[in-house]
Amino acid sequence: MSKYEEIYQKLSKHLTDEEIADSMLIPADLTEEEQKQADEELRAFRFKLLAEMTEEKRIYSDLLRFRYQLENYLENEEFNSSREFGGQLEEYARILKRTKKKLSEDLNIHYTRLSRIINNHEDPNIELTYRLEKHSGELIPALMWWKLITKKQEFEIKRDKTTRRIEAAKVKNAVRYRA
Amino acid sequence: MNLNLIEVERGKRVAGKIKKLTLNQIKKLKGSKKFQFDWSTEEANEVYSIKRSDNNELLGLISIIDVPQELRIHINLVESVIINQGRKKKIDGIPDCLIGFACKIAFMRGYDGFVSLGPKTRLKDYYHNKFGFRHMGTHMVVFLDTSQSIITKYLKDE
Repeated sequence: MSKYEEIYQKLSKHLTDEEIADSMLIPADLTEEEQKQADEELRAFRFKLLAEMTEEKRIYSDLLRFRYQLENYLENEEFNSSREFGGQLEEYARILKRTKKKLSEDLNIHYTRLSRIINNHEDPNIELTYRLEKHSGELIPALMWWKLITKKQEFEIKRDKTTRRIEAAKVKNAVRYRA
Repeated sequence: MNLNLIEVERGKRVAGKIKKLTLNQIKKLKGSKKFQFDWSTEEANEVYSIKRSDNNELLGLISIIDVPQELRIHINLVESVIINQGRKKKIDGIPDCLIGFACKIAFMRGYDGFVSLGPKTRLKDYYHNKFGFRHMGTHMVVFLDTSQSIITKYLKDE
């Protein structure tokens, strides 16, 4: 008896099939030949699916790739200047095959302003993130766009000693709480 | 990432996290009494753990195989820790979140959310009925909308 069958037999004495499947994935025990055939069938199906994929589905898939990569960056990675809001917005336009002009029309913002945002010469506002959420069919939430902005701000606040010094010099009657 | 893990007794959601194990961590699973499977044999694959965020308690594991030439993620094994198996489990949704996580990886890597698995024949209906996996010969598969619906259901937005 194979190791997986042994585990299944042991568990099935006190659990139903549903309870077993709800606890673990027990792989099928296949011979080498059966495994080879199963893999070939699957490979053929996958390639057929890829060949038949419509442009609409390709864009949908790429938007989700973009969304989950963005989510992973926001949750698990340090700030990276190559992933600022502007660059991500440009990538979004590329996925949708929109020119900057067309995207500015879609989002109802001036072309020059969109260009400045894409080139990181101007910060976006919250309203733009709402428009982007709507534009993406809500696949990319406004909050995710907004976190791209705050991730950069957080990085800058931690390091910007110059501005901190300049602004501190403008403050009067600061409360003193030094331990 | 908000995992849909439910504490059965209180019916309340508990926060969880999923992390990739190092090779050394996988090797250390040999002889673990927490699992039915010998997870140390999965060292050639990517193994991820799911833990409670509040007390770091290990809840389960998933082993996946990246098949880049077919733009596919294959789920090789999934298991909740023994105390969370069967009728007396304390936390519900452990394998569901791990399967959702595999779907997310399959989108992140540009594979159209394509995920395959090869369960025992007797258990196949469960994966079809619960997640929408399609029968594909001996394997079962999900992709695109179905894969996204699994993510939406088990890895909720904040």
